Amino acid sequence: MKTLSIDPAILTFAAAVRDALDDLPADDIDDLTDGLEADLNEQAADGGPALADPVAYADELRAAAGLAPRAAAGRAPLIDLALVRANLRHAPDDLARAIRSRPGLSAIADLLISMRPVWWTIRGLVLVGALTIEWLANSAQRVPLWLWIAASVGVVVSVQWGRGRWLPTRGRRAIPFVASVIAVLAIIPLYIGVTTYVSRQFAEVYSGTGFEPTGLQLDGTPITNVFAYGPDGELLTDVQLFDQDGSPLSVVGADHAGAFMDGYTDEGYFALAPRDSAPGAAGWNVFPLVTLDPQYFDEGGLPSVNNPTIESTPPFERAQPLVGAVTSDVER
Amino acid sequence: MDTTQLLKGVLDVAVLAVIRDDDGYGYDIVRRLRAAGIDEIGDASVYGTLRRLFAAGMLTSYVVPSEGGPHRKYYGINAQGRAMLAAHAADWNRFAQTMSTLLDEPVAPARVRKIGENK
Repeated sequence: MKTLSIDPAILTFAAAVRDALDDLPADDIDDLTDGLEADLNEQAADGGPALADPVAYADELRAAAGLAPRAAAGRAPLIDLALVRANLRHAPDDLARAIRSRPGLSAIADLLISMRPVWWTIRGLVLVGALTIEWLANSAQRVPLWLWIAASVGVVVSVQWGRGRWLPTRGRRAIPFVASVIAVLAIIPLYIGVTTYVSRQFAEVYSGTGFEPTGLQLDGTPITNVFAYGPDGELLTDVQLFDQDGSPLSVVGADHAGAFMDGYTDEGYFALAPRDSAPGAAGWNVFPLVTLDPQYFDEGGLPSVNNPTIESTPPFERAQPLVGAVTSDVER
Repeated sequence: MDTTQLLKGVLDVAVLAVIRDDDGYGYDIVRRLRAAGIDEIGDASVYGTLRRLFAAGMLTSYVVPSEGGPHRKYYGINAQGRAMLAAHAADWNRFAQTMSTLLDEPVAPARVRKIGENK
């Protein structure tokens, strides 16, 4: 027999039964109570026994289904502190077991354990470095001796802590742990401090007069010699060059005082001097400069006094003739 | 005699037996059991047993919606359930036979002589 509507008492009862099972997974509750309303409804229509205690009913369902009785009465606290503490205490062991049960992870763990001293060293350096961030950010001095010493001490202490030495009984584990945490936190600020310091050092060095580039340059590269070719493409000699202000275009700069200039190329040492047609300091803008003959270098491979000179080797024997110049030459 | 305790041991077999030929839903199965004379067992026990047999893989289950009313969950026996039913039926028959024989004709306990006791 079928009734279309269900007695609200049955709905309430079925809901109470489900409540009494609510410690079970949802699937289990569904398995146990699917169709419960229909069954109860039909039982009531059959003149079955009145609905009794839903909790007892749920217990009977549970027992017959072979499920464990509901855990001890009383709602468990929202956070079981004892359980959390126990889990935390077991967490390292659990993690170790999880890692050790996998060969790949286990190998990585072994590698990391072997590398722990590297971290101890870094930790010592970072902790000492963290104390000097203020100094690093504002100083342009060279690193003073005391800082090197402090860094060394920091490394030694940190490594000893890593080995479990030099620690009070209380805090054997806490002190190295806290030190590691601070070191990790300090890495980024320290990195910024060191970068600031280093860039300031460089700025200091390059602003010094000794490093200011002088003389002729092409795209920042110093020019050591200039070769001029005429309209017919032939190499010119004794060419005097000046800039727009009338200043001589000197490859050595205005302050050069030596009788020759020298340097190194891929082919080795070279030395250049002004031409005989314009000897001395006035000749540095007369091109091409002549080369000091290496045959007359002294035993140290350096130019000797009044070293004889030879013509410098031009990059091209002859350059492209200019179209207009050639025709006018032919006409002449 | 209160047969509730006896029933608990064989409720699984009883439930399998009443759906051997025909699938049934919860209360339908309760009704079949009662019709067969098993009426001391609570309906919740039957429903729980169905769930356990289903979880053990002895039953199939499907839900049939009913017009206007709540849906019904039907259970049917499968091959594994039939095998278990057959095995339990055989056990039960053997056991019942033994018990019947025992209760009808009490067997005199065999007398065992003690050491040193004369015949």
